[in-house]
Amino acid sequence: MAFIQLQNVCKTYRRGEVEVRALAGVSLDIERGEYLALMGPSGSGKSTLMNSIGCIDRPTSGSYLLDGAEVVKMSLDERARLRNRKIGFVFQNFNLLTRISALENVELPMLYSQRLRGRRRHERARMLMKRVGLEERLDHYPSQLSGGEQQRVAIARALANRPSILLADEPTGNLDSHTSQEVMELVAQLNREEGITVILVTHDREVAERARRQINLRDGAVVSDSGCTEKEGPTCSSK
Amino acid sequence: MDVLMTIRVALQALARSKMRAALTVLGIVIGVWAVILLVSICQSAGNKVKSEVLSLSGTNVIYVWNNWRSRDGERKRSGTGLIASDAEALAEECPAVLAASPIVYHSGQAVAGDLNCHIDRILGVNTQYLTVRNWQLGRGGFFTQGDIHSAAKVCVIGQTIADNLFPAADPVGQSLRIKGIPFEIVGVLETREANIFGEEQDSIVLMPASTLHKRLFGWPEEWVASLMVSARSADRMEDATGEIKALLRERHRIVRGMADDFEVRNTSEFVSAFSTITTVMTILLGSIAGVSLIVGGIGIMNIMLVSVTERTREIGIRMAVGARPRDILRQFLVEAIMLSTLGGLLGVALGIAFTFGLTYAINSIYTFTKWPVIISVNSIVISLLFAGSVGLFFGFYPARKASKMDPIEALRYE
Ligand SMILES: Nc1ncnc2c1ncn2[C@@H]1O[C@H](COP(=O)(O)OP(=O)(O)OP(=O)(O)O)[C@@H](O)[C@H]1O
Ligand SMILES: [Mg+2]
Repeated sequence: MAFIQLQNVCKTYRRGEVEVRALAGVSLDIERGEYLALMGPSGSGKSTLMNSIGCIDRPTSGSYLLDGAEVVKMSLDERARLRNRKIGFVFQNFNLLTRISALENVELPMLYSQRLRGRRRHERARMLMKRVGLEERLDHYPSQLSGGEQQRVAIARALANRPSILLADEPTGNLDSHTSQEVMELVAQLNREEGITVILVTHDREVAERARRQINLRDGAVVSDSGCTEKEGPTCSSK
Repeated sequence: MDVLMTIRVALQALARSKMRAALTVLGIVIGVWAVILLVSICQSAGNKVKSEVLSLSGTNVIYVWNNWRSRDGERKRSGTGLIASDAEALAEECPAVLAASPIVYHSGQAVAGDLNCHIDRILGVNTQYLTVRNWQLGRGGFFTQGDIHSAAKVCVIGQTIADNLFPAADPVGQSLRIKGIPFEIVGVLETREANIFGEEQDSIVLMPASTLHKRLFGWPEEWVASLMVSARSADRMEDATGEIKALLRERHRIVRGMADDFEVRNTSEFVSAFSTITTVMTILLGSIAGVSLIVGGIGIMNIMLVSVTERTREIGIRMAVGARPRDILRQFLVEAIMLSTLGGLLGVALGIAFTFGLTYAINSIYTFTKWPVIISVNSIVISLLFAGSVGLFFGFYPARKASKMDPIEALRYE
């Protein structure tokens, strides 16, 4: 069984009389260690799909098995636990807490998991900041960091509880091409060296081409999948 | 997130907007301040009066007055009225009575040599008076049983009279004149503090009741206005009161079914009546102050609601990295409780400061009274607990609102 298994996932938003089908029956299998890019025109449902996979949002219908567990039927607390332990989220607009330091931002997920306390939590956060190349910026506040640096703090935060999935919704959308390269290099490295499953949304062809599998969405449905299947595994070429 | 961390996060959040936090808790500060101040002042007033009453009269004092009128105001025919020898009889025959003295009141002018002064109270008493009032002699002696029998022209004077008439010499053995009649001074009373009404205690002259009657009033009778009796101990007040009533009825030959021609009151009744008054006052003022605590709580709720809205994005981020609804609930609840408790602590500090200040002011304006400072520990504990509960109660709704947020919506909030 695939690590992430989506079956006929639908998401409908109601605004009074108007119904918007953001996801119209998406079925998708994603294996551990894959590097996957989601593409598609604006409004095609990419963010909605990411949020569903990230357990932030709940599909209206369909089934989503994460590591064999049905997420759609889970309670709020169970989904919070999944977000905390298994999923790291990176947003286009970084979403760092502005009133606390970079290091404290990285510690945040660990505060809710309570697996590491005190000194050991600080140490891990410091280690992660080093991992993303920001060991000199520990006590800086987000407003004192460049966009690329903020995004790297966000990646360090996403990695805090050793997640198996890294979800990045247009992580380079607010960055220039050079910084963008750096951030994508970091993401690729995490996938390569630590086997983290990476799913990212992007409008940038170049960025998408780094991934080993590309999926195109349109009007809430998958229209093309570069088709990295189970048998071919992560060795599947990107073209 | 554990509790300590939650408290730290809450403190950080409060520290970021100190001015707002300060204004928010103003209601709580004022409420707690008022509770502490009012309750403390009430209690120290109560204690002051209680200790005054006790020092005024010695501890277990019972007063007996003539009461010539029945309930409907008609003059009673039955009974002979209080006489001086009733006091001796009470002391001898009632087992629960320690000592008893008649009291005859007068006032006037005293002259010695070319000095003279006003005497607030000239009292006709017997030899047991000092025991009843728990008062000591400063110098000299007291008049004797023999002096009472012979209505001897002797007296014991208070310190003020001694100071005024005999500024240089020892008054014992000297004499003073009241209405032109000379009285030999046999002793001087130990000085006493003014009572709560500011009445001086030392402007007093004591003499045998018989002397006052015969020499100053020119009456042969031994009728007296009242008796002052002390019981052997505080727990025997009831016994003593019963015994006094029975013995006086017998001595005054009051037939069964007829009303007493006297009235009996004791200090413990007075003290307990006063305690009731102060308790009622304390509760009343305490609850008025409590209302301002509730108003303060509404202020906290208001600001917490604003704060929850302002921090929608923060809530979304926290949820996205794994905060459960209950973590968010706890975070905001702890913040509200910290807010109100800090306000409470500030109120306690101000309340204590004002209690000291006010007491100091009272004591320096009314120098005769030494008002005590009593900070009621109960009121501190209760008002802090109350302030905390106000935070809990009024913080709950905003915190719940925060915890019910949808992470997606919250993350999108601008
Ligand atoms: N909360 C919502 N209420 C109503 N409609 C919504 C809501 N969120 C998303 N939608 C609709 O769902 C559809 C998919 O939105 P989504 O954000 O997933 O698009 P996207 O592919 O991420 O677009 P973009 O590339 O611009 O980020 C859109 O038509 C959008 O208007
Ligand atoms: Mg999007």
